[in-house]
Amino acid sequence: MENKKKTVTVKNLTTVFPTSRGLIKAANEISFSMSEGSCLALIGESGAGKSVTALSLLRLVPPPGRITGGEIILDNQDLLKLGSAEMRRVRGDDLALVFQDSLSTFNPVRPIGAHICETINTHRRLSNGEAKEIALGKMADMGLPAERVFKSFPFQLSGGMRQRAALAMALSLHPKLLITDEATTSLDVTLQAQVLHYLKKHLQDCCMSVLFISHDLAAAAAVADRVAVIYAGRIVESGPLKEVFQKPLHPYTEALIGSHPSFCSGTLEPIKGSPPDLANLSAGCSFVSRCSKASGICHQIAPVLQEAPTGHQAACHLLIGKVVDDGEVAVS
Amino acid sequence: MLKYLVKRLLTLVPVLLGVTFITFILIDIAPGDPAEIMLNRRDIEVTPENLERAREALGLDEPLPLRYINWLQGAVRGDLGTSFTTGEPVTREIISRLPATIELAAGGLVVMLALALPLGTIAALLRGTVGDHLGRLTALVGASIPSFYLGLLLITYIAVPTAWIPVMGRGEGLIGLVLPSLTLGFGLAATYARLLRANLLEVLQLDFIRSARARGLKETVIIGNHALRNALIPVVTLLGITMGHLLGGTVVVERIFAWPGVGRLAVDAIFNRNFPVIQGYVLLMGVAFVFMNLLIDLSYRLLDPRVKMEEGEG
Repeated sequence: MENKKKTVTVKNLTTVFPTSRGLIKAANEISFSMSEGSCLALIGESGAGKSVTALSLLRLVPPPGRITGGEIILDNQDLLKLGSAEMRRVRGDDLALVFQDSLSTFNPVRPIGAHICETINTHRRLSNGEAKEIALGKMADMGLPAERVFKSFPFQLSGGMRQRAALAMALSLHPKLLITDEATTSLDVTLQAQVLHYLKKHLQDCCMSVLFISHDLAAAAAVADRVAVIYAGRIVESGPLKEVFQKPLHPYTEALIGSHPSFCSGTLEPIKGSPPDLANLSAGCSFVSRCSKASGICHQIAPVLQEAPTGHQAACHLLIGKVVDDGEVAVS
Repeated sequence: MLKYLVKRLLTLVPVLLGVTFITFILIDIAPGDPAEIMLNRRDIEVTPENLERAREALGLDEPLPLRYINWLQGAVRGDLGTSFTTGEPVTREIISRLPATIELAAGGLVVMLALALPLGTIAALLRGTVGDHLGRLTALVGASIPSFYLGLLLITYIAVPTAWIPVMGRGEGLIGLVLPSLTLGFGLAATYARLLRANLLEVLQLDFIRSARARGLKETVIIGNHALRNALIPVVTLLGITMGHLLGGTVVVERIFAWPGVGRLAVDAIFNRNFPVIQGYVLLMGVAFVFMNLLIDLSYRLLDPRVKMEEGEG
């Protein structure tokens, strides 16, 4: 996996929203990288900064929010340095996004096919017939009755069909990075399994990377090979899927897994308290008020991401002690 | 579709019955005796006998309900009676003046759309800038200014100094239509530009616009192909009601510009208590209003496929 070409590298991406109560860092120094054919799951609670991260990657943060720093390297170019016209050409072509609500993906008064062809024609010099050919092909790949869906209006399709059509549209130009923002969350279990199956199949067939944003650990576990856990705008833990789920290093990850029915064998343990007010973060760790293991230092100094030998990272003061206890040496 | 059309056309019947009956009553209780006015116009001495004879001649000696029924029987056959003042059949008088009014209303509509669509779109795109505020001011002035005053302004400051735009009347080609159409359409254009601006801003906030941006579409395509069409749906709905204003507005504008349309005919008829002509005018407006709204509803279905679906189920 490590030998594969890195397609996406995000470094210290920070997005802020000025509010009447102060500056909110909705995405705070987000860093990750992905290689061809890999899938990174970005998981966390509502409001943790998952969607803001997705929109930041496309540089579509709604005003007054803005990206204040960092790098987004896709295919050897920094997206944050592109002009707006160049950035527009990347969107929908090399970089595609599937939203949670498929009904709001499509214009209610235009048929599905028109959307897909429009996307293709925006980025490629193709005839209408050729564009339609691609659209039909992608929809068939998704197991859709392509001809019918092509002519249908969004309101005439079920949620599952619409979401698959949205996925077909996103994949129609073979993006290098596909971001799915809670794309399977609104689907029922069987449809979710179906969509995840198509996504995984595509991931293997094409040389693309997928950033799978979800709060659903089970869905993430089904497609991802790596996981990044985001809390209060920061990535607090990241690493290979199995490592993170089986040996979580951060108390938040541990609590998240403990509160999920499919990962917890005993009684469910909800995470106490609620996420912190982003406009009013304390100097220490943002999870400190909900953490059962917090000590003095946690209240004073915000922990930074540290790497354990397994290639697994976490931002927690306890990490050093924990890894040392396990007989391993922490690398900072 | 056919079922829908028939259903809509059937609603015409109660609407027209109601409108004409109310007008009948209103005219009857309005002050001013048409018989007396007629005698005065013809320089005949107003004596009780002469009045009696005049009333008989005009068919006003019968009770109101009977007069209404008689009128209805004629109307069904296309006979709207004869004008008190000219003695001509009302149907013929209206038909001979109708083209001028249709021309004027169409001109007003064209002016309205030609001003409102680009101005509303530009205002939405320039939201919050000086251009937007200027547009808002212009719209406020445009919506507030009475059409009779705007008409006089246009005559005084455009028609008279330039001398190549006719001040009054019809019949010099399309150029004569310019000022009356502007007078008629300007106020409505202002209202519509504001409405379109507000709708467009609302639609531009919707998720499918964000998703269109995420697909890399150009901003012009997003506005033209996606936002504008959705923003126009409420605008078109209102257009049906506006048609009434447009037709009603022709009455004033025709008066100012001496435009020989049905609006002026109606005003003259009201001054002369020319009952059959008033009655005919009201009937025409009723029919026009209902048909316009039907047309609007049909075009609404072209814009929004969801409407077609609802009708198919119903």
